[in-house]
Amino acid sequence: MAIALFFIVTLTFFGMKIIPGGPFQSEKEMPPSIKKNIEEKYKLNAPLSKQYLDYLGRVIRWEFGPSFKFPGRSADQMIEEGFPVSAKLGALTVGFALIIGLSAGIISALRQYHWQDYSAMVLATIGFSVPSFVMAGGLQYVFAYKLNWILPAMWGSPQQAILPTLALAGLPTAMIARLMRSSMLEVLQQDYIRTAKSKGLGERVIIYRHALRNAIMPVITYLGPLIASIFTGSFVVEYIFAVPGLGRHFVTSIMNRDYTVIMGITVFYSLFLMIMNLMVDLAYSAIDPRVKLTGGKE
Amino acid sequence: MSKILEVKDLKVSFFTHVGEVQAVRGITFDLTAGEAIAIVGESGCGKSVTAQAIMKLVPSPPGKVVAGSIFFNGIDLVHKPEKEMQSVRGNQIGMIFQDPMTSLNPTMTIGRQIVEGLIKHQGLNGAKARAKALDMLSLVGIPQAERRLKQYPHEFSGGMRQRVMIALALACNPKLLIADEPTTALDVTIQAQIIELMIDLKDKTGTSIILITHDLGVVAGLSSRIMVMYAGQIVEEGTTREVFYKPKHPYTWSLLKAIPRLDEKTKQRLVSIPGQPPDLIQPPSGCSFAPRCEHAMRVCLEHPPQETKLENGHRVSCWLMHSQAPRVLLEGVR
Amino acid sequence: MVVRLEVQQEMFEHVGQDRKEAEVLTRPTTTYWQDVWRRLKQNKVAMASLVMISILTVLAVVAPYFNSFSYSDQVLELKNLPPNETYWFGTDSLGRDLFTRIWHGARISLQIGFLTAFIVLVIGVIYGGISGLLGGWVDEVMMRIVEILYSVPFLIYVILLMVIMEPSLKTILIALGAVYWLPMARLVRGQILSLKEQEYILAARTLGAGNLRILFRHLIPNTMGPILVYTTLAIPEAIFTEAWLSFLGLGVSAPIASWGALASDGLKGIRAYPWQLLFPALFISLTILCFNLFGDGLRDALDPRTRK
Repeated sequence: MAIALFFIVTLTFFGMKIIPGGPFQSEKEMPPSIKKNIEEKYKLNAPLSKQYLDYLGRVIRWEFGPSFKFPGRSADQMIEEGFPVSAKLGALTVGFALIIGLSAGIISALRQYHWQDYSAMVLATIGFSVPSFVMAGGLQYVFAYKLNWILPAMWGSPQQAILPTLALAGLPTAMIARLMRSSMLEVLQQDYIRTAKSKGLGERVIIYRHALRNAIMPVITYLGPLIASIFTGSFVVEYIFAVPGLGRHFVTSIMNRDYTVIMGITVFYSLFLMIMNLMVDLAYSAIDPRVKLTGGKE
Repeated sequence: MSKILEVKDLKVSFFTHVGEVQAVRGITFDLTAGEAIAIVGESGCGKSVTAQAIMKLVPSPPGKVVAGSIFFNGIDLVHKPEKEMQSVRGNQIGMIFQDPMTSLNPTMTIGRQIVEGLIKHQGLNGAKARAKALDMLSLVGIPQAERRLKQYPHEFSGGMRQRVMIALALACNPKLLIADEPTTALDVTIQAQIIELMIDLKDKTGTSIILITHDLGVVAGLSSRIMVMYAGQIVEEGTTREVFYKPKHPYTWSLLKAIPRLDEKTKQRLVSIPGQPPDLIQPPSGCSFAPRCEHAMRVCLEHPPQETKLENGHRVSCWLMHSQAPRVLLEGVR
Repeated sequence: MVVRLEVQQEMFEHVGQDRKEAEVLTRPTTTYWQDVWRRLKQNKVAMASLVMISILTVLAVVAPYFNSFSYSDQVLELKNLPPNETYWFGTDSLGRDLFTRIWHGARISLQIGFLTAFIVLVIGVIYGGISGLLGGWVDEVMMRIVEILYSVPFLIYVILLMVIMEPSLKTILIALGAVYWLPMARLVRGQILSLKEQEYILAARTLGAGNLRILFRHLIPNTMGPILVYTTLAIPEAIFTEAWLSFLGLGVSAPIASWGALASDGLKGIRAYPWQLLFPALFISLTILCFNLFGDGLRDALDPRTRK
């Protein structure tokens, strides 16, 4: 994990350096004295290797440097501001996706070939085929503009959280529903379910006590990629709904070619994802007694 | 002694999109309380389906009991509603399956798996149920029962797992135990242990046993009667001695001949039965074994044989029993 | 009910075993690929998707010729028109015909989809193949590299690459290809390893060369299955990612527009001119949906367990 982190940090650094023109290219209004200060502080005129080491040092100290587009704001500031907002949106999304997705998956599996199954699966297929920005745009149009039920954008009240959450949750909910359904179907075919039945246990007990615990494994494995996809979805969704989160900052920094911010957020995201993945692994081993926590994994 | 199980003319079919697969085509048999019988036959002959039908565990969208009756202690099982059936399963009839590796829930401690039946059927509270579970583990010969209760199935060896299955099935003292190929997935030495265990338990608890297997070798010590099934029908039934020493049906002869014996002096070829079991979607009109039978006669191909009752409760369905059939000598069978 | 049957004596004539009859298998067998195709055909949804994809592809090629407009002609007086007789999908904010632009976008998006899948297949097979076949420390090292690369979310790579390079069709293909080959390489290597294992068992049984060839006809198709499925599913993934990139402004540059760029433009005018978003959104979703459904169907058809 450490290697990977090191790798992405290095990649970002060299990536930014390769871009022709440098960070000040389009910034004409910056007074020369400030420019000089920044150059000194970040050693922009020093040889590359020195810059790199300096960069590494700063990263460790969690200083990513100033935003070149918004003088006076630094990248870490933006991260600090944006992250809680995004985290909240993300948590809402994960919660929604898990609750709705798991229920839909279980019901579909139990009522296979009935209307509940078909309709749930149709919705799920749509959910993961329609890109989040389309979903976001569509939701915004229908509910905010046409029907005027909800405010179209911004963040703050619970009501404003509805549309972004829905737009973001489309894909994860669909994936979880599908995974849960196929996993449940497979588990219900297993021999130990037959044993449970032969002991005279009731249907509900069998489903919730025996089947569920085994069926949920693939969903837990999926949690890692799930979180990653919520990240990437959040870039667009936050942008469209003007949610002041990390994703939106990332998008604007890309559009503005604000390199330090891009670097900073990239490293932050990678770190966060790695931590999340680690936690998922822990959760997995806690639930499945056959998995032991070792250094190597399949 | 009373009859604990009476099966009459049971027919079970599976309705698939290629047609109706007649898995069980009219079988009749009884079981006396405290008795152990064996149902023997090759894969696909319908023995497992019979067991499942008794427990009403036949997978019900494709499968269905189309005719016949199953009476357990005088109770009609075929028409019993599912809810009531749940208090029969595990409680009055227990069942163990072929592969103990996959038949136990991998994410649940075996203690829990034993205890949940006790809690449900006997209304025991947690502590009493645990105590009973400990007793059961000791009964089936698992040492260090205390520690074992908290362990998961993957921490047990194959033979131990099957013992756990037996403990599970017998926890509520059922009157009948159905063992569906309990030794097939185990090593030969472990097989012997499990059979020994079952004999022991039968003597101790008086549970009736139906042992289902394709391996005639495990049958001898445990069962007092053997039923030979082929293509969904019983072709021969008798006491163990009768069937082993005086088999009357060619299929039974072939099964017995196929068992290699360690004390053969000369080199014997391994005997197998050529051909395949018939297609159960279009069952043959005559005797279902006829195409593979070396003693087949023309009548065998056209008419299903009638049942002949011999002494000692020995019955056979074969045209060779008919008075007009030629006398046939069985070679190589002791 | 026992009926005493009157049986003539000659019926008891000995017939013996019917050796031929007994060995005949009662249902016709099919080869692996025939079976797969048959099952695929039975899956109506997958077939419908395949048809849809074909239609879209054909339209992408010919539809721009249906009318006389090009994708870049601007007629500023006629901007932001809703769909009407001349402009079937309406016009965008610069007066360009949306119909033509949508189908040019189709060309871009479909090209990206198919080409990415192809690139990913080639790179993945080569890398995974070498790693799997050579084994030993080469395999270890190669897979270790893949693991490290894997730990970073794909989209971040793609974004970084696009920020570094100037966005164009070529660079998008490079960026996508550079990222999506990773799962393919792992898959290919895994399949080759399982193939090697079975081959080893074959050799241990000392079969003649003829049998080996026959078994290859079974083994290789078996392992190709998942690879085929991944390739098929990589197409909608690529289209999705490209649309997303375009949306962020990192896609193909104007005036050629992919669907994602069209959607991005369309979003700006969503209040007043919803059709500008509707059409690209519709086509993106439809295409991705069809590929996904077909890929699913393919996966089910290849999976022996779902055999009815």
